[in-house]
Amino acid sequence: MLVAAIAVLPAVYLVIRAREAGLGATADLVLTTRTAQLLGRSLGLAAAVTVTAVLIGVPVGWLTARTDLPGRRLFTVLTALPLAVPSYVAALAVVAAFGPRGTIARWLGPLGVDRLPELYGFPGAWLALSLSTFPYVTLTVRGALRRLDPALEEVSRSLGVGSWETFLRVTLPQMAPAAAAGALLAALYTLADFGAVSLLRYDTFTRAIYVQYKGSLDYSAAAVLALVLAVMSLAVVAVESRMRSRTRIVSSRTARQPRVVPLGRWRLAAAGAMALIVVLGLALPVATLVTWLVVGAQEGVDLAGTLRAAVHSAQASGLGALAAVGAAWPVAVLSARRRGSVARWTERAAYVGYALPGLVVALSLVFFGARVATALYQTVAMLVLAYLVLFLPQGLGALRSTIAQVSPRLEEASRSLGASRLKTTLRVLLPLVRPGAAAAFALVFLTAMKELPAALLLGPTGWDTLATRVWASTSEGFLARAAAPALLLIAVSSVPLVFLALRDNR
Amino acid sequence: MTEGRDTGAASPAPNQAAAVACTGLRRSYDQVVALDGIDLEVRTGELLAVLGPSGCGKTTLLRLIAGFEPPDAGTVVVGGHLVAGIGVFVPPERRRVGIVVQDHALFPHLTVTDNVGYGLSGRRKGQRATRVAEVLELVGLEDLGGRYPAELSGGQQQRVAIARALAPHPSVVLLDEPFANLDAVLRARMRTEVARILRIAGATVVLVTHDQEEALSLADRVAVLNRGRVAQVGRPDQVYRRPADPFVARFVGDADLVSATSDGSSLDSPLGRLKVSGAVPAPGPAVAVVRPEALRLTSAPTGLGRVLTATYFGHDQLVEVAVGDNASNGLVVRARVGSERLFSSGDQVHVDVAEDVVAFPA
Repeated sequence: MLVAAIAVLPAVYLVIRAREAGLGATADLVLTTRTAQLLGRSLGLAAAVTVTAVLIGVPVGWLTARTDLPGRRLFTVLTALPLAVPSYVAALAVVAAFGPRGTIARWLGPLGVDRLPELYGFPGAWLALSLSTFPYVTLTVRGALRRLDPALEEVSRSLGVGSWETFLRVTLPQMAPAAAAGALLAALYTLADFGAVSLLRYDTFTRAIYVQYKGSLDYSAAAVLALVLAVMSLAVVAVESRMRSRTRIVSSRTARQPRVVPLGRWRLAAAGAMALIVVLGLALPVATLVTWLVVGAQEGVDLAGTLRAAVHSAQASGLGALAAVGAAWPVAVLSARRRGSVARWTERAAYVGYALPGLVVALSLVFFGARVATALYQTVAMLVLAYLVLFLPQGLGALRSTIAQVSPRLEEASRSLGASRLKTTLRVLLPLVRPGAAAAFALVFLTAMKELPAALLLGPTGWDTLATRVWASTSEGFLARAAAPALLLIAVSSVPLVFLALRDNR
Repeated sequence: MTEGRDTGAASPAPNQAAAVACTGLRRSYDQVVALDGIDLEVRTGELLAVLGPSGCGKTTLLRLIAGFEPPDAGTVVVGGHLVAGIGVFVPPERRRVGIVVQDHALFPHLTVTDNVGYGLSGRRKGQRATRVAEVLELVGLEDLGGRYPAELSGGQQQRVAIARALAPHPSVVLLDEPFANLDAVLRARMRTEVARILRIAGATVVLVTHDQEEALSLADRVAVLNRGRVAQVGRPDQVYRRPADPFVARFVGDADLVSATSDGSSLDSPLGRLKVSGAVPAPGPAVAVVRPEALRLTSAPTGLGRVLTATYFGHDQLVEVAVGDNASNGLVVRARVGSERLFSSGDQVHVDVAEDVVAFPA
């Protein structure tokens, strides 16, 4: 119950603050052309990014799951890795590569091309976010294709329907719900994104909220805007869970591998297209960052500063992960073992953090800290609290599935052998769940390392993490100084994704 | 894959009466031989059961007939057309072979009507609706056309799968362990029901199963497969009464193999002198196939048999008997006898073989 209370605290506090502005003032704030403009931009960007993510993600998922694409395993891993690139790093890479003084401009300069299309604003934000989000679609689509019963396609063929028509009438409809789920994740990610739109100077809700908060003392206005954003995100989540409950997918009970589709003369073309995506989404950011690192090294890089930031990141993320997994434990046990409304509502409350953009949670905790929890304000504890709210759902998801796999009969057997409830938990449940708990911790830790807005708003003044260092350096134009922490972040985040992609590809 | 001459064009049929003819079919997967030279004919209008233990290659045989995989060697003829052979591989959609698999593989995103009409896309709309209604009525689901597969019971899903396979008038319908995932009560009901539907439809059917009871009770003919080869093909009673080899004898129905010596007209065995039905092995060592129901037991303190276990089934009992003075090198046979008199462990009994046995040279 306490966990549930903490989880919904930001949302509740935000409502309180927004109401302080008064109903009339709130209405004035919400019903402005500015809000409408922001709404249009946020939704427009989300729509454009989502469509692009689907257009890239679905073919990539199908090619890596079902065809004889050359280098299939390698591409499986490489196309998942853009998820490891935080959006602000992707933005930094896009600027460094396609920006006015970027790599491409320098290559094309001697050829007489002195102006590139304007990057800042919509095009840059769209490019950076599309390249960061398409793996969501790829991963969900590939998962669906792996679970797809190969007999469905065979039966279709035996009913006189050719292979291309079978793809359209059977395979595609079976992929569609998964693609939609991935698309909604991409949409949610775009709505919540703060780093990329800020660095690429595209005014969406998140950027406007931040500017409002930093630039004026009218915090209520920021709170109202944040509330609108939160409602938008919740709407997307609601749509997603509705769609998920409607999907009709049969998973195959046979261990038989589905037929590998020969690409024939398209093999090389497909591999080329894949390579291009990998270059844009992964190789280019990394190469650009390495170049800047080398440039920076010649000018003398602030190694000590980077190291200090890394330690800060690890501290905050470690504590945050510990808190999130610790808080998830009782909720996971409750929801895996008991039915009833208490368990159900506690679990739902815990999932609020999934729908709330990081900026919204951070902002409400700023208000909360400045007014109520003054002792904690401007301490790392506040940041850890934010991570607890934001990453509780992740920890819960990982823990819940492992606990659900432990049969309650084991605990009953332990109790009937004379062990107390506590002893049973310690000696039976804990050892069995330990790998799952460790995985949950690692997942939250690595996600928290990348997190930007909460670290930016809640970290003590002058206390920087890898993420805030990248952000500060990039927004001030010191690309060389951003390179080292950015590369470090990509490397750290890649580890779990490689495991995920390889497991997926077995 | 040898997608050579990709045509459905008629090649001269070796036997017009056969709906399916397989000759010399071979197929292996990474060193493991699944089919090792299969010759098999399915006659038009019959229900042929392909029976064998798991791993005998029966599902592979089905997949080669359906065209999901090409054979390594050999030919497949369906409906008088050569569909697989040297340089010929007709894709599954042009073979006119219907298939019903274990998990039904109904398209989850389509209604019952759309599932059944799926294979009729070439026809005119009215024709299609008529045919769908026709087969749905045949399987008794005319009222459920608007439902989705997830809204149907296991038995109903199976009927839809059969209706879908029958709708385009296939030359042959292949059933791959169709009853394996149903519970015992439903299985028994669906067996008779499916057999009835297929007979009314006049379909030619190949039923793949590992369940001998299913094969014996449903099929016109049974083909027993062992290690990628056809061990025997025949009517159910022929396969049961006149097994072609000891494997078939033991796999189709219960049987104990008893070592004996032949004198050219009958056998001398630990169970006494045995009369042989069918071919008598040449004089010398032989093996007799003794069915449990062929044995009679009588309590006798001087009997040579000693009861090891007796399992009561209500309508009868299965008694395990050790025969011979020395149990360690002795023979153990099973007897299925009436339950009016119950035997128990340790009883001394006299064992009689009341029926003629089948025998093979040892």
